[in-house]
Amino acid sequence: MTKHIFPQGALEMVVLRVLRAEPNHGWGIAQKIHLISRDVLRVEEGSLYPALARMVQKGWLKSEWGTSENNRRAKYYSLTRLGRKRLESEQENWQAMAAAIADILTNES
Amino acid sequence: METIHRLYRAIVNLFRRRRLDAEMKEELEHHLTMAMERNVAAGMNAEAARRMARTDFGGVDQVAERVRDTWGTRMIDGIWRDLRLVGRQLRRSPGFTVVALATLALSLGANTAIFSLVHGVLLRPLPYAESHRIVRVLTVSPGGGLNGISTLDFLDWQSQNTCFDFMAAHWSDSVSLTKMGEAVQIPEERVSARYFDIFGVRAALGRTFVEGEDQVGKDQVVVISHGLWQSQFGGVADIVGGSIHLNGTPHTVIGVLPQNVPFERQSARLWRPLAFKPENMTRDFHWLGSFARLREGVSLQMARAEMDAIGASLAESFPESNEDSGVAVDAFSEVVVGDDLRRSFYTLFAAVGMVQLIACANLANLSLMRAVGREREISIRVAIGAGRKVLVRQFLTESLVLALLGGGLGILIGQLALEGFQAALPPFALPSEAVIGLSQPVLWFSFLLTLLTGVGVGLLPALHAARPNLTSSLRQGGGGAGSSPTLTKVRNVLVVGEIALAFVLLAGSGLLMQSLSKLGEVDPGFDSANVLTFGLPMSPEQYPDPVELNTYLGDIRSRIEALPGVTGVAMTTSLPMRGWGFGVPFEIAGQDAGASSDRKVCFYKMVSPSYFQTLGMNLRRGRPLRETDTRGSSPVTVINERLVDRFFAGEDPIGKRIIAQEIVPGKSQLGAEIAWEVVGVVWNEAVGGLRRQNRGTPGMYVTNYQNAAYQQSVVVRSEIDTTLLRPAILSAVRTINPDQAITELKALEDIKNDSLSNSRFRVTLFGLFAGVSLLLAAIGIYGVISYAVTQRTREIGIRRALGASQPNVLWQVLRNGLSLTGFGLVLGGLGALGLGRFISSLLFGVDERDPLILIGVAGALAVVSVIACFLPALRATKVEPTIALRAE
Repeated sequence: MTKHIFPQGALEMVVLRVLRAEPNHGWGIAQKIHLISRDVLRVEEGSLYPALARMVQKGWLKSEWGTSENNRRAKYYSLTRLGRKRLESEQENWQAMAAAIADILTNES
Repeated sequence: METIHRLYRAIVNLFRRRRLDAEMKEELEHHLTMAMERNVAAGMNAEAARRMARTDFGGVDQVAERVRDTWGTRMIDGIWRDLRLVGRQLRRSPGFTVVALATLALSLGANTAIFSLVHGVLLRPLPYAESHRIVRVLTVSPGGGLNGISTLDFLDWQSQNTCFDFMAAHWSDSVSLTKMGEAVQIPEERVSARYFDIFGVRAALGRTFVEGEDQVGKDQVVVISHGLWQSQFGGVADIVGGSIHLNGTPHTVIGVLPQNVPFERQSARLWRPLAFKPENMTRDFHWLGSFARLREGVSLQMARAEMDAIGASLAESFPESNEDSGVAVDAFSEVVVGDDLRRSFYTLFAAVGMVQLIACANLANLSLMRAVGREREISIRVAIGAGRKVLVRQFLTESLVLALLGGGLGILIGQLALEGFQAALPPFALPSEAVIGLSQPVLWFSFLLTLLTGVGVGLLPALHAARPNLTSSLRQGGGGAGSSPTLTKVRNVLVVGEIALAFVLLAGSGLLMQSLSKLGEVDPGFDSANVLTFGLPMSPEQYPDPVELNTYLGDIRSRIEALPGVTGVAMTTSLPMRGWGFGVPFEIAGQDAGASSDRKVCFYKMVSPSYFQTLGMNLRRGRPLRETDTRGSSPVTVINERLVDRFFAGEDPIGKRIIAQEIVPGKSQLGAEIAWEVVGVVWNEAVGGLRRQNRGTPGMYVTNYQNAAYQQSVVVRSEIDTTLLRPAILSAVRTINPDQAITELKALEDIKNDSLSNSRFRVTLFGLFAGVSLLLAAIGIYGVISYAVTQRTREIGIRRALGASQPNVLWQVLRNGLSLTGFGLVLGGLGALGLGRFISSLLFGVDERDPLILIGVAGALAVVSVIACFLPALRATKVEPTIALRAE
């Protein structure tokens, strides 16, 4: 059994965030996640793929085959309209939650 | 929504699974290659770089499996596996499968058929534009009953109201259509100009009537039905504008109605304007019906208030004719289906619903027992890791598969049943607005009912399987597991419910059956055997002089009398059981006239003197009408027993005089007041349905010599089978007048039977449902008791070993079944009383709480359940103690 270091929702959010800028393939997304989270949130790279597949089934992402920087065939993911909407609402949720947590922490100190 | 989307994706993915799989592998490979290259670039050797890439990635196969999980194809695989399992399970117990399928197919089929009647007749909105604005307007007679409208009243209502867009009178008649020398009689409707506008029906070809066409002189126009256009005019397009001969005068065809309007299903085949002639302008001859269309924004209440006011002012201005009369305005949707029909259908619907409940209870019970029988198998499956969810799903799948298969068969059966119903119902038994068929809402209903049944039947065994302590059944070794107290209780409740419902249905059908047989016993006042009847339509245009008319009728009579086998011929304005024909207000000379609210009214038949003898009617007092009671001699009448009872209060009516106006031949008008001398009294003749015959309807008969009439029907009594007589009668009439049309050649026996056909239809269906429910209930109780015996084999063995006698054991088992039956009977008795109240208006000659029927039904059910219990009980007594004990 693979352990989830990320909660599932968080992983999806990060993927959406990464793909907002430009379409990317699985490997690329994984590298970006390492970059964004400054390796603080480590993730077993393989668990990215079930998440991607799930998001495609939910209609947040679409995929098409393309050629990568070093001329390899790779599957590129990009946001759909639904995915974009999802990202916006998730971002609001997370910000609200983060604010709430921050609030609790500051009050306690 | 979400689920449907997922299911859709899953099905799509199912078909491209291979490609998805290949692509996924390629993608994961790409990732690993990239990771490896990075590691090599960082200075590792190839082998270490690959190992590192794999470690970072996690288990490749696990990841691949988790990706496959997202496709949803596993769900489909699961369903498919379940279905195959169900198929195997069902094939393994063909007996159960056949019983279950047959039960489901029959009950769902019956429900589908009855619901299509209910939907087509009662639920479907009327097929007219803005049908809520259509109202029926009639006179309320002083006695409170509804009555036709007189010409002058109608015209006043029409001109004084502000609540209707249009108001139209109508009157049913028939007209002879002459085409190339052949005359055919065609039922027609005479209507005011805006009649079709009220219903929002437009002509398919040409037009309908316009304002002013219902005036004398402009009324030689006709609208024909699509059916008539096809049958009589070959469907030629240039019929519109053409001329046809109706009652000998040319009429211009201005329109053909569309094919799919309710008008096509009425008896009238053509419509002519109703133009009032000077002789129609009376206030005392109530002959018209009427419809109106509410003005936009006018409610029924507002219309009623206004029409009440108009009626009151007319009553004040014309007390002679209108005192205490009023106006009734009713929504057409409320009156289009009669109360009896509505009640019949809802009763049948309830009955068939009960059958469905019983069928469900039975199947639930059967599946429950099967589930218990499979307990060990299930326990083992749970033990080796089958989730409870999987088990529940499997049971539900099984019952849903059964229900869907049964439902599919049920729709076929429903279609057949529906065709049977339509053949069994007499024509015009249903309103013409009704469209019966397996329409979309009906199919939806069947589908939902099927699903509900599937879930209902599968739920109990599914929940049973999901019970938490299944492992105990492994330990107990099967035998005692199913007899858990809750389960037994559930099964008992189901059986009690079945018996109660069967009781209600049997009692209902007993009441209806008793009513039908009581109706059949009613003395109609005439002898219907070997009597042939037919209509002989004539018009004043052909025989303007009543004397000439009577000579003509006399010729026809003697020609038919001369036919071999004929023993009597008579004419009448209205055949037995075909209504009043005419009705007249009357007074009895020498009696106080009384208030107008109890003004006396009776039916008024103009007959040939041979009428009573031909129909075998019993003369009670005095003498019959005679050939000598002619135009010149003093006016005489024979009245019926009911009139004597009701209005003569014990006096001898013979020699008294009844003062009534004569009906002016061929005109909708009452003529001179005549003092008819009562010369005889006959036993009551049924004029309507047999239901009212017990009390009878007051009526008087006069000779058609003394009051001639154009509306004549003929009654022929013969010694031979009337069907043999038909061709001879037709040719006899034709030799007198080749243009004479003959309508509705029919045996009087058939007329009598037709009047019972609604009751018979009801009884047949209800009886059928009751029979099915009895059978199902018997199977149910047999199953439960039989199962209980199997469960208790060991206990019974011990009892036997300890010395319990065979009768003792027998009684033990029987008692179990009988107490269930007892509970069911008590509940069912209460239900039957409720049903009896609901259908009391459909009953005849039988008390809705008839104790004999209730006791009889209870007895029959008790006997059936004793028999159903007896077989397993007998088996119990055969239990050999030694074998039963060793069996464990």
